[in-house]
Amino acid sequence: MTRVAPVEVGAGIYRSSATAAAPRPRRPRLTEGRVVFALCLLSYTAVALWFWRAAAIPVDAVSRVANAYYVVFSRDPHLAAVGFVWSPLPSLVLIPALPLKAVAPALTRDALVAVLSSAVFMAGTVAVCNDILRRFGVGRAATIGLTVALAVHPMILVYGGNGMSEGGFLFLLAVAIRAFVRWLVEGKAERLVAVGVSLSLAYATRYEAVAPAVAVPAVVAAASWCRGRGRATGRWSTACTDAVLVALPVVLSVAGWALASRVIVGQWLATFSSEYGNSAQVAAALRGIEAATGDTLPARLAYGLRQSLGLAPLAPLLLLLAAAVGIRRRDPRVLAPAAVLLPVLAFDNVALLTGTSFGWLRFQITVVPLAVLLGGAALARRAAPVPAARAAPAPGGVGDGSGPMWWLRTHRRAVATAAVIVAVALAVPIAAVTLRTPRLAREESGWPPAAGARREASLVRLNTRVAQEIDDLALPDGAVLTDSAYSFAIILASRHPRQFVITSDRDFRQTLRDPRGHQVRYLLVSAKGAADAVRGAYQYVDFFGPGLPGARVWTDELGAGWWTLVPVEGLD
Amino acid sequence: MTTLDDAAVDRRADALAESIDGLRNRWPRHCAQVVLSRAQRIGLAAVVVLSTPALVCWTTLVLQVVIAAVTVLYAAVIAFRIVLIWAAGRHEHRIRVTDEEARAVPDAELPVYTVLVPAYREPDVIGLLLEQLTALEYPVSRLDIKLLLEADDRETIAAARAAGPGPHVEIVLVPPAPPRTKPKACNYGLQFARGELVTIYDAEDRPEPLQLRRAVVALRRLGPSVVCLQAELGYFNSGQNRITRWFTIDYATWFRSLLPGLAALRMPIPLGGTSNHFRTEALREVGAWDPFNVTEDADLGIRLARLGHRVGVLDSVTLEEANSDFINWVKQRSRWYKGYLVTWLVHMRTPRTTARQLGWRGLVCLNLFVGGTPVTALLNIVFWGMTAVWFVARPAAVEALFLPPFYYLGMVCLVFGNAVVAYLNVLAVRRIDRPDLLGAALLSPVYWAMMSVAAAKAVLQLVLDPSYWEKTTHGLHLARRTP
Repeated sequence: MTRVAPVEVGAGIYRSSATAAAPRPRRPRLTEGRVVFALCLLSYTAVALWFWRAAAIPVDAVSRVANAYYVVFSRDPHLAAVGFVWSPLPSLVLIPALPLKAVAPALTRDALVAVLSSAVFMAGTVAVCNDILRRFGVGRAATIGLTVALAVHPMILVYGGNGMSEGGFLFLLAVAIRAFVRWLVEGKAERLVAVGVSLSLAYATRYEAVAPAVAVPAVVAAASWCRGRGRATGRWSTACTDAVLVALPVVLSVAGWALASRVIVGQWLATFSSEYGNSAQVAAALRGIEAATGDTLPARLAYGLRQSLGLAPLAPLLLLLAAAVGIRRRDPRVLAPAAVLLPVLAFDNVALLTGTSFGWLRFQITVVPLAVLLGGAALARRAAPVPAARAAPAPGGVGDGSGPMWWLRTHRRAVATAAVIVAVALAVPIAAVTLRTPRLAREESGWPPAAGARREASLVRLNTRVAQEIDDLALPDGAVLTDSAYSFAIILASRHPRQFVITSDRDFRQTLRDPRGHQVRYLLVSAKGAADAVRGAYQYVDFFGPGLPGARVWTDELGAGWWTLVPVEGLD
Repeated sequence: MTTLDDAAVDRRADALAESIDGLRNRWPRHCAQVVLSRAQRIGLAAVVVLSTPALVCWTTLVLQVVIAAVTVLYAAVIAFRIVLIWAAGRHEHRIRVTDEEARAVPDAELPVYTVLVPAYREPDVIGLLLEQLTALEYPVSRLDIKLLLEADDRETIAAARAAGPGPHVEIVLVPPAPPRTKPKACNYGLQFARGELVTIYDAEDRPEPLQLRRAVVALRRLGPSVVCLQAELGYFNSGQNRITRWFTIDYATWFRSLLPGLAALRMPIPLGGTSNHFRTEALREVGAWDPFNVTEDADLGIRLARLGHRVGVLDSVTLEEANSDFINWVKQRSRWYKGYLVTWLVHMRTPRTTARQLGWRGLVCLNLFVGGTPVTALLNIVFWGMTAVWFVARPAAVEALFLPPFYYLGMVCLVFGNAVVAYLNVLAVRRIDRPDLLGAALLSPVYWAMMSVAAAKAVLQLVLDPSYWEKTTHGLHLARRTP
């Protein structure tokens, strides 16, 4: 039998966790973590409100709110209405907040709830990273410097406020890293449960999490093996057990989601096989994607590198530095951020290289916390931090030398700290430039109030107008048949969502076959939706639908959207 | 005037009467001699009478309601298990006494400690047992070991006498009288106990040598409100075969996670068969063990809680023999399940009183832990069967029984519930540092199928013979070594 001795690294650093068990005074404490969270939440909420006011919330975020909305407010409310094309967690977490639309209709109508949730998650991400830095024992100045470099990084600011799933994803990855670091230090099996559960939730947020789900158990097994004592069989089985503890929740998450998808919509992995899924979308947009990323391997490689280095220019250097420090000190903690975040980055870049990805800039976002945490790992201390300033003799005091070399030696720590902070913080201005480069930041460069935002705003106005005019018809429940994969924003904007028969309704297929028999009075079709199921079933509506008596057509001023409402009466 | 012998005979007769009727006289409603109280019988009859015509007229509806209720119960039991393990993992809830603290108490300050060892038809292990007991680090002058043997069990008595026990070991012959159960023997022994503290070991137990001293220190530290400490049970033959490996994981979860979890949530703790250390006075006061209950230990844990006493979990291990034989295992497990069901019925006789005495936490424990454990073990096989039938034949009848929300809940229980419990077993394996049991942990569902068999037998026996004590054969690990 082997007895696993936890690594003694940094035993003195864990003041915060050590005191957690001891009785504490009751008064609410203003801890560093809480201050970080509150400040970030405030800032990201401001960004979120800007996105809302500018009507610039990305459609993916709006669609995620709509998926949650159908679960509660559609004609056929049921949990599976959340849909299987996109990972469910970003929608599911919104559900508890949806009833608040009674107080603030904008929460759902304008998808405000999405941007607010991303502000909460991103603030959580920064707070957890701050905690990890403190666990690394990098010293107060470095903790603050690196935390600020993360918090004000343009990519983090933007995705902290735009309602996309990156906030939640980074948060869960950060929680996994923290649990991983704690396991490396304490050796308690419960920490591995936390790593596994965080990764499984991360998978339920974005499917890129399969990459760390493969890598982390392997790294855990290796670390477990290395720290084990005794006979090889015992060490091997301990390593396997540790790996299983991490891997099993993710396996369950993947299998459970696939099984639910198979049982309910008949497809194991709808995001790849569905006509609405990622693969279909990439295939449809391939020409546009290749125009930006290039269509050869070297071109795509260069594109991916330019994107990731544009967000964290010195990340490779920091990786080498942190690895060197870790190896020299036999400190395994650097493994945690590397094993969790590098695989995500690798996964997204392999997808880019193989032409199965849109190659959006946001797919490189993990490089941002990675660079910060690697900076932290490079400065990590073994023992309880001893304030360098106190240890160093006062300037002009007794010293055994003078000149710049002496100064460097005595202030080595401070110099190293400053250098690392600068290396990490360099990302902020460079990323600001990257985000304004349309070729690299194809989505983000359009968001500051420029043409892109105007386009989004014009779409929002169109959708609101369509919803309002359909509401004015005062139709009964189930009178409008529509493919919600396209019309989600109209459903969200409508005061009467139950008038729509939508894709997630369990009678959608039957209704599509016989609209009249199901008391449907209108078809609402998009002009551009390649996979619009309603339009696909009644293709001729494009040609003569608009001409039918009672039909309506809406277009926005920029020509980005186009909706047709066709009366069922006239279809015969 | 009576002679000394007459007095001894009278004393024995009184002790026998007290060991059988003591609890019933003191707390008639706590005794399992009659399994169902009158109100329970009437209630059960009413349910049967009313539900039979309903089942005939509205078969699907009635079955839908039953399945919905059962699914909710199932989900609640699983959720409760997760909560317990989570609660146990947050802090240390077992009471720790270091070796130094345990040895620091001078012999003169140690109380007299009674050790009750009931044994029945155990001639093979009795010698080993006496060896184990001499290993206890406790002054012999303060030990009061009572070997409780049935008066007609000549073989064991002979073996015990042949082993040459010291003066601190007394062989107590329990007069043969029904019910022939371990708790009756313990009650009988308790009448003669001289100790301020009392504990029980089974014949094949190997208690950790400092356990008695640790219990003394812990009980002094915790004060009079804690009247009992449950030590952890483990197995010395866990690697013998697949069954003992599963059994080890089972116990690891039970004593390292579930019981500490109950302690953390301030819920009643159903005691485990041996190595429970009592304050003798309090034990007598609550009526000691129920001689008619086949899990008298679990029942006593609930009764202690109902009467306002507290139980702690002591960090000290007693090694037992894990049951290595399937039939023997089923016998033992079905006795436990039957006892749990009886215990649940006994304490639910007066639900309002029980609720007042235990509070909502205690009630949750009684229903989900004591009642829920055997019931879910039994239901496993029913639901797995239904799932298998549905996958093979897809009969519409099975589909019709599940209303949509309960269908989803049932599916979550089936997929996630089972997986989570298997996962928690992996965690338990890691916690006790026995990674060699990983395979057994991942194969837990097979063990649950065995549990289902035992639960079915338990329910059958509950109806036919509720107080029958299914004897577990010990010493199977010896038989293997000396063929």
